[in-house]
Amino acid sequence: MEIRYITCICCPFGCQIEVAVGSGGIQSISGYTCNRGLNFAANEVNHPERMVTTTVRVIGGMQPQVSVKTRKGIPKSEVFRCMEELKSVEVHAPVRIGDLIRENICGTGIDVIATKDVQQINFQNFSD
Amino acid sequence: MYDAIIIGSGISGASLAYELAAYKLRIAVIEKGSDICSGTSRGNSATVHSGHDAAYGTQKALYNVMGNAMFDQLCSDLKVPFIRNGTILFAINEADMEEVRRLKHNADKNHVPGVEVLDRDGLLRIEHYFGPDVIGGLYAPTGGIVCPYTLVIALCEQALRNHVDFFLNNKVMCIQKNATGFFVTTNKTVFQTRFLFNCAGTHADEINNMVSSNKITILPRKGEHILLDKKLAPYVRATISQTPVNLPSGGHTKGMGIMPSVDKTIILGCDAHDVTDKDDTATTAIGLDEITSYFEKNWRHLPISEKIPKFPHNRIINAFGGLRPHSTTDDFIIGESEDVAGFFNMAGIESPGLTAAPAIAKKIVQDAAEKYHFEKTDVFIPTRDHVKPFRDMNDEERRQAVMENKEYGDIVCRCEMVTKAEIKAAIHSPLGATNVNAVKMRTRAGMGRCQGGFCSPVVAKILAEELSIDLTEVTQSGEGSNIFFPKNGNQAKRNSQ
Amino acid sequence: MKTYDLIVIGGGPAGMAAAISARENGCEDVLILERGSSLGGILNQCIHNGFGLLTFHEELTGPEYAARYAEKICALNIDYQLNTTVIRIDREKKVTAINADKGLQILQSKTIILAMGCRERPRGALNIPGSRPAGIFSAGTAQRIINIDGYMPGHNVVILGSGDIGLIMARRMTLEGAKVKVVAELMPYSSGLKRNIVQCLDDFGIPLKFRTSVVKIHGDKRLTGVTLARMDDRNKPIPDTEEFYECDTLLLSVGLIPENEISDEAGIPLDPSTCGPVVNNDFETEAEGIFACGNVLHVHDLVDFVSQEAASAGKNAACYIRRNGLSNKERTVRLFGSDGVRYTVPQILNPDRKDEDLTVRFRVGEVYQNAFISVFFNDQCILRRKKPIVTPGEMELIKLRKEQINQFPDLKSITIKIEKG
Repeated sequence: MEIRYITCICCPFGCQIEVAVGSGGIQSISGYTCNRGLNFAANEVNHPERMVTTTVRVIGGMQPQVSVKTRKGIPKSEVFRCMEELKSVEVHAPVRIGDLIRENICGTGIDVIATKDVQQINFQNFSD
Repeated sequence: MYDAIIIGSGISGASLAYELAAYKLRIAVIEKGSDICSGTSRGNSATVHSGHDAAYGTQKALYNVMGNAMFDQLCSDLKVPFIRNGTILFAINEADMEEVRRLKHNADKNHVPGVEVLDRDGLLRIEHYFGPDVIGGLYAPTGGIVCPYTLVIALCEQALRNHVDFFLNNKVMCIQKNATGFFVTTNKTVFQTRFLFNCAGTHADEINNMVSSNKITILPRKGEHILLDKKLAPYVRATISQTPVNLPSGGHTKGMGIMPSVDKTIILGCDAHDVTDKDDTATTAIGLDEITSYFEKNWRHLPISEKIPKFPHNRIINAFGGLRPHSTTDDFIIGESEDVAGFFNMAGIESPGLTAAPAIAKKIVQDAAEKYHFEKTDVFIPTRDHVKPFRDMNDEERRQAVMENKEYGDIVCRCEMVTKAEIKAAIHSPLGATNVNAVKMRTRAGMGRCQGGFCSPVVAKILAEELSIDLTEVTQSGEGSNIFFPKNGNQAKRNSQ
Repeated sequence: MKTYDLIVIGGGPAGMAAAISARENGCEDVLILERGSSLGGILNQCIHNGFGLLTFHEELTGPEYAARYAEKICALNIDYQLNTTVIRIDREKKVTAINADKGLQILQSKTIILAMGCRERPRGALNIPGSRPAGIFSAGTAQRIINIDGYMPGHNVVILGSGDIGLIMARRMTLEGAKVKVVAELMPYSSGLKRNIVQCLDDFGIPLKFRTSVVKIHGDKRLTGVTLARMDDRNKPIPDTEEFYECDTLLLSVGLIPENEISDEAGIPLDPSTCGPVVNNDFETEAEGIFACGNVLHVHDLVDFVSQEAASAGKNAACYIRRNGLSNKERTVRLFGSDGVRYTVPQILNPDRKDEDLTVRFRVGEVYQNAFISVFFNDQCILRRKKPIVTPGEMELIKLRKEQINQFPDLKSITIKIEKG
């Protein structure tokens, strides 16, 4: 049996969780202080996931890019592919928080959404 | 074909350009850096020395005292801040006092006005407080402070306004002399001139030795300084150092001192170390350690220790190094070359070079004018038009400034209160800033306690807009010092929209 | 001249929460002055997730967290001015501010809340020897360049300091294709959160070297490398431990300093340990009617705590106006940190005004394992709590019940100590 030590990343407290893994999979989990921690530890052993937060380009916006996130964690192994796929994504202003930026990123079934509003450039601003 | 070419745009070249501009001559200044004032004159202790310690009989002593006397008028003409804050050398034992008396004798022979030997009570009449070990000292009331690059920029701008041409990024590769004058070949082009003035700082020996058979040697001697937050400004008035007996650095320096700057930061320094690289202004662990440990140990003597009892490490905002162009003759090398007519040196201008330069330039130009019959122009404008910085304005002036130009309401550098209007003005000024450091030197944006953390990306953006270049092309200090790179390889596309 | 009830200086997380809370507690004329071009402050560039678990019970990114508050500001019709720099305040609660549209304004208020946040310590403050090439950025500046401006500050990176922004930037630059070679930390521990070491460094195999610092900077025009060395207990480099790292970028994440220039100039006393104003349990500074909250008061690890503190400051400002400005400060109790506790916030308790439990936040100066946090009323220990670990990187908190305090009519001082187990 192997003991895996995991630092929980669900919240800032960073609980130290011990997971005992045997031939038949997880045998026991200890050290967590909430259910999120319990789930995280189990996932981290079997299929670790990470949320990806980055930016994509905006056309015609008051800002050149908009911040985005995967709606929830995607498999850790897909993180760099997700970044690569988002490199080519462009959206047109206006963008609203929660707008869908990319459906089913890397075939993970998880969507990428905007986390910020970006207004359209108002051309009247430039005609004074 | 120029009448006069000046190699170098530090305090020497700038002073010469300003003096020569008063004559009917075609003049050019050529500078190897990406901006004027990018060498020795940029990093020094910003002191206008009284001349009490320059050895009697040397050129250093002569021009130091003459130069010092010129600063009030010069700085008032050029609208450059200059303060006669006085210089104090304090003594903590009888050996120090002996040195104080020797310096007083030297000062008298140099005709430095007003120098006094004071006992402890006398010193306390000038500064409220000194540490209990201080027994007396020397007071030189004509000692002052000036911002060296502000002065150099002002001299150059005024020279330009009086029709002097400036060529940056031009490094002199070789010089040939013929019957009519000189061919100066740079990495960019070839200039022709009748008269040639060597103000090349640490490289002045290379220039001289291309032309004259009287070879000279200039050794770069590094001095390092530490800068403290302007919060301490209320506690530092005069320039104060210990009598230079038994100091580190083998007496190459005027001693470790503490002084205010005209911009209210506090300068500590400096040490002196001979180095080999003539452009290496990097600070060193040894140098910084020497300064901090000196001040840790001797802080208690200083007037500031009354209010700030210990050396305030947490008030250090920056450190910088500079190079003194030290001549192996131990004195300034100035005037027309003995073997090459029309070639003038202003070399080895190390401390008190900043103080002496205006007087040396005046003397060189007077001699040349007399010998070669330069004719004065009647259109020379000695006084500079200069807009008061926002940070020095009162509320009413600020209100007025924003009403006239909205961009005065846009504060870019929060620590030094520099507005977008002033940054744009620096970019579009006669010798306009083309990179972030050049903006900094002209406006102080990025020189405050956060050292550009907030404002340097904004300054870069303004540069990109005003110079119509991409942000990736904006540099910190000229070619090769780019700050931003494209992200996602998509930048070009965005900018073409 | 119009008199505002409250002027909030800074429209970041602290300023927004304070303004909202003040309005909800009855403040009519509230004005926020923000020097950036949008509300939200630094949160706008903190695009990573991990915000809001305590406040909203869900995990938000920085811009999302800011947007929740900004929406409320709009819903409550709270007035704000952007791109506006406050030049000066005074004890009479006059605020001098400037912007491009309105020019120079002198505004009168009944109360002020200081919510200016903090700034990053620059390279100069570290006194690292070497040249001054391009390519040296504080981590927050680099974050802004990537996340707001859309550029890269460089490609081969060394990070000095393991504060949270440095760790977050290690991941961010890696995701954007840069190579982060190492994170060096002068101290024997990280001042960043554990989760960030895991998800920002360990996930990408980025080494974290403790007791290591940059001892030399190389490069003339653009940075070409840095020399790292192991440091001894007096923070001096250990000979023969130098290692050269080729890099074009050095990020500094070496501490945050509360931005108190205008408070200091107004003569508001600052605590040398926090670099923020000395405050009482109302978050009122020693200048009556001027309150402080968030990172301008002391540097926080979590924005949720900033919002809580700010909400309390906002409410107290509203109470101050209801009381017609009268402060009841008859009895004052000093709070002290000692034996490893670097500071407490608040520093002063006015028990007669205390109508609720007292929350004391503090930080320790080094790592303690299995130690006790002890609270003394005068000389008497009234609370002793065992903690498996306390570190300088994580702010601690102790709640003292009102009844406990009221049981001590001659209470003069409250001292918080670390006692080794």
